[in-house]
Amino acid sequence: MTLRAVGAITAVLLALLVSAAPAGAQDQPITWWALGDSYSSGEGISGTERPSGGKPECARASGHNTGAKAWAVLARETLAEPRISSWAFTPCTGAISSDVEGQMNEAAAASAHASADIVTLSMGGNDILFGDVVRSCIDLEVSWSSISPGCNVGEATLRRRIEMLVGATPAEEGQYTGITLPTLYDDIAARVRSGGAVVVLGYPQIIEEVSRWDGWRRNVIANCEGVQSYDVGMLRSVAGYLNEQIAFAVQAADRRWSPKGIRFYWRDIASGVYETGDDPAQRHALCTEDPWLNGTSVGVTSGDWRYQRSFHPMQVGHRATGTWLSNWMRTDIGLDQMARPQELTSPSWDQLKNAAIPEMCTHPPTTLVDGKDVSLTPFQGYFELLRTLPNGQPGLVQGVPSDAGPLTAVVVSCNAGGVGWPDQVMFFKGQGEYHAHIDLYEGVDWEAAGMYAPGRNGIEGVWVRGAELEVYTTAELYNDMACCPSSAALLRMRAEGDGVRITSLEEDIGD
Amino acid sequence: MNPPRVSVLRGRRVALQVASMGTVLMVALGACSGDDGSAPSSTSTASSTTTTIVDPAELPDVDAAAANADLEYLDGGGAALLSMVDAVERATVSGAALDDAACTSLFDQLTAAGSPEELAALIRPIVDEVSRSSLEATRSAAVSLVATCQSGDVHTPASSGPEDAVAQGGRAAGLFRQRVSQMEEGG
Repeated sequence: MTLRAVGAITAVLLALLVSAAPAGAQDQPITWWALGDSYSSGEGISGTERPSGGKPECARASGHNTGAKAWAVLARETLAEPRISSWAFTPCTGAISSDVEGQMNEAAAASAHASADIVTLSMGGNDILFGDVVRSCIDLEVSWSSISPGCNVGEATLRRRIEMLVGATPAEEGQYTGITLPTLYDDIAARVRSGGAVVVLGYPQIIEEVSRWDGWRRNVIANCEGVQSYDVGMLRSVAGYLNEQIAFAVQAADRRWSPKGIRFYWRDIASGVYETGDDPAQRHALCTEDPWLNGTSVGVTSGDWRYQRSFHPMQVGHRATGTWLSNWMRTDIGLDQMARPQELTSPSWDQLKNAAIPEMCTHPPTTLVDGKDVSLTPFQGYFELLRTLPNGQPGLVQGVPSDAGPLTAVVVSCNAGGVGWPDQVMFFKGQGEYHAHIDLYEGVDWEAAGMYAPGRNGIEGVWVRGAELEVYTTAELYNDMACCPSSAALLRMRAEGDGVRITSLEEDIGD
Repeated sequence: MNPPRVSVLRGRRVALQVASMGTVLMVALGACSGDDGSAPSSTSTASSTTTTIVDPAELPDVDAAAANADLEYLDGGGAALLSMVDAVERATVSGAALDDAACTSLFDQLTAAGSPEELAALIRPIVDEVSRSSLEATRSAAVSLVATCQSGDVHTPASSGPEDAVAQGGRAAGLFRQRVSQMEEGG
């Protein structure tokens, strides 16, 4: 055997050893629940299956025993993320917000997990009866005796229904029957694990702007799939308003739940997938050159026709949406954190509560007692590790990744007499030894992010996402009084070497 | 068997020759103008058997298989659609608002053809986009025309939009006729 051969065998053995190493082996399975209405279920795709025991109108493009695959199915396939090993697909045609509880129960049973790490859905269109309105627009009366041409509901009514959907206006009988989106999102968040993500998709525009129609359609027949040109502007305006209001509701949910480690994300498929620009090749509503939604005739010749498929995305639209979403999910929703093992090896509270710490908050180095600097007199101020934040959220987070091994981060409240200072975050390693700290006032460039400073004792949540620690804090803008910060911010930081580096700071505006 | 199908369609078209020529007049007078030269007023021509509502070059190409299927369908299960087109053409031939007699005639003919829902269902199997769209528009115009009659105000379109149902109905039915002719001639 030559030296070269020995070397080759050694390399192979090493490779085998490396591949057999437990990297990733301890990862938690990630659970994904795909919920929602017909735009999530894949209603527009021929070959959908009907779940046994479901509502008669419920159709699902789950990919089981059929090639029909809705966007969530395709996003999961495209991600090809082995850690997403637990999955449930329970959206339904015709679903309204109050049906989601049942969908989550079904998903819990199907995934064998009582809670999820990822929840995706579209919801709201049926709550405002948008489908019924579109149906009315194409005049499907059963007799010529009582005729009402065009859409039977005006824009003002639909906008009011949308305001009921988001809770801005009380629900009126006969106009709105679901729960509000804030309630829905809170119900969902209650079943999402900390570190998890709720991804809400909007709706595509179903009909192209009249001004972009082909001349023969625009000037001669003034009609697209039975919808008169004079109704198209209203339908597009309402769809735009619906998307806008859902986006605001998602952003508000994110503000409520970010401090608890659950993020809400809004993904606008109208502008992100179906109408990405002015070029005809970038537009895919009905009556474009390349529509990705069905008109009213889909499935007629194949024998798979059902009215519900009308005005819904076909397979090509779902595929584009799935690809677009997976590209974003791969980098933006913290899959690493979701998969992080629960068993943590960074120091516990008991290990660090009596740690020796360096000079901080103008106080000399000291050794803590139960998390406090007991050497200080009231005139000298105070120093305290906050195991629990004033709002009841955890102030201590274990398992912060670093090249020094997993760290524990703890929020610090301190001052040198007088009012409290902006919070600080202290990191401990090993068996509870001090590792590093960061002053959120001095150590962060607030001006660059358009803000003035963190609020005093303003931290409302800390959690790990991926390789980073995320800190949610109140924030002062330039005209704010120090007592009363009017904004909030999300800081991301990474423990590197002996220090901590801020990787991003953004005023919290949701997604 | 193609000959009977073609003869039926051609027979109906010849019977509607007067109506088609009236449509040309209406289109020339009442159609909205476009900015791309596709407006009927600038492209309409009349012949003894066909009416050109839109320059064929501005329409999608005729697919032979789709044309065959559609013509066969219109000669069979979809024949009621021709009755609907016929009714709308007769109602809109003068380009004027409908009087009581015209309203009654339109209502009777449409009722015989099928309800709006039934006619919509009959339109769905049409494969050719232009034919299907022009039939949809004809059906929509019929709905608007009947609503106008039922509103008791035959001079003001009852629809919620600005479109004049008489003009739209004439244009849509005319485009359908033009397309059928195009399909019969193989594109």
